[in-house]
Amino acid sequence: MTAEQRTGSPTGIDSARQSALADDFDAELRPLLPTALRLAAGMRLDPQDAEDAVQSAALRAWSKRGNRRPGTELRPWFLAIVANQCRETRRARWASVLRFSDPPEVAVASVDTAAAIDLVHALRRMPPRIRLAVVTRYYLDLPFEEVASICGCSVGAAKSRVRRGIQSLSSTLELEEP
Amino acid sequence: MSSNDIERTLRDRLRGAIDPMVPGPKAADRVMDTVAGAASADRIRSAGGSRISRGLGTVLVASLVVLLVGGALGLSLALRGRTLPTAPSSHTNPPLPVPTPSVAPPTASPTPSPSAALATCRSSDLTARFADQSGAAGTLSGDIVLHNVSHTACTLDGYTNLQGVAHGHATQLGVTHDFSGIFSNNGIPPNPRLVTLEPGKDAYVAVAYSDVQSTPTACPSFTRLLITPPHQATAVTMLVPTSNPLTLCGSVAAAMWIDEAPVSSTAFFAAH
Repeated sequence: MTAEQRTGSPTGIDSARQSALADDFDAELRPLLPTALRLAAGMRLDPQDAEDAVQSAALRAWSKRGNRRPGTELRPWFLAIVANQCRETRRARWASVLRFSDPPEVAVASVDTAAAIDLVHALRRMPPRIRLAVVTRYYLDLPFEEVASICGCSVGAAKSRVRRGIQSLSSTLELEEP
Repeated sequence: MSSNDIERTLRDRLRGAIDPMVPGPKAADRVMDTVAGAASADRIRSAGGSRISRGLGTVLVASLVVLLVGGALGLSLALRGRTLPTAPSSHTNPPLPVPTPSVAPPTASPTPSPSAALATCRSSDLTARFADQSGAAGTLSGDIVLHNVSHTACTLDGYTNLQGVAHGHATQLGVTHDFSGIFSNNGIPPNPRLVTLEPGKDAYVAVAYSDVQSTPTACPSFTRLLITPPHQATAVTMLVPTSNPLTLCGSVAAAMWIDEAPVSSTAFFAAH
């Protein structure tokens, strides 16, 4: 039995070819990471959780890269994986204690205004699918087509979710709808 | 307030609330390092595993490691600085006692089979040697061969625990169980299986580690490995050639990272 048969690696692809594919994937993925980290931060509302989610999503994307349809843009595909990973992330308590020897740096230590804290609390209370729509639309400034793609729903459903999100935040933000 | 005003306000407030929680600029580098590690593991697999491939050990810093090495790290802290008795350095030596870990090395539940009637292999039944060790810089790999020197058949199941010995000191290694995915088949990690070891026969533990130095601190090298078989409290000593000591530079949570597969009846790397 060959190594490729045993591990399930595609036969006929030599190491150099794999290396080139890996380089291509890296080059495509890297520019998306700032957006992915912002999305994860908006979904998890914790910097460490956010980084964990993006790391797991990147590994998942790497392992599933063969499933991506040719010609499909990487951004919505990858951000959808990040969004799914954020929903699935459930960290055990001890996992939050045993961290890396070099803890990830955080741009700002914590949210420091009452208004921001209120908004974070409101986001936490929001159903994840609504939060995802709000975050992708108004925090990442994505068009509704891409919001829908990441949410895995129709454009109409994405608009509906965003509308519900605004309604649920209106009291926190003291927004008066027209 | 118009719709545009609401949207503008919402955007501003979301930035104010979420921006402070976005991981810093180095986070993207760490993520890319993790992907590079996965790519490196893939290349090792496709190359048959026993060849050298660079770059894996220095970059595997995924959050999953916390799940895998947490117990081993706690044990490492407990054992650091412990001096072993000066033991003869032959792999036929009697097993060295090792303290009962406060956090037991993870082992799998025995798989019910007819072999379950046989006794579990004791450390004194076994000798160990390293086979098929790669010798250049990069991600190294090989099979630890456990040989049954007793006159009776016995069983092994699950994972071994590994400690390194240098200058008479035993140090718990950061053992992970197929963290790199190198031992997986189609992404499915190997299941621990009950291995029946007849007298004079061998069982195998595949291991992989990195000797690429990524920090200013020199990586620890070990000339002996203490291998604690599953469900045993004492270890079997394995000599590592002094010309090619076991140097562990993996930066997964801590130095001294080594990845292992469960005990198997077949050699992993020699089979490729």
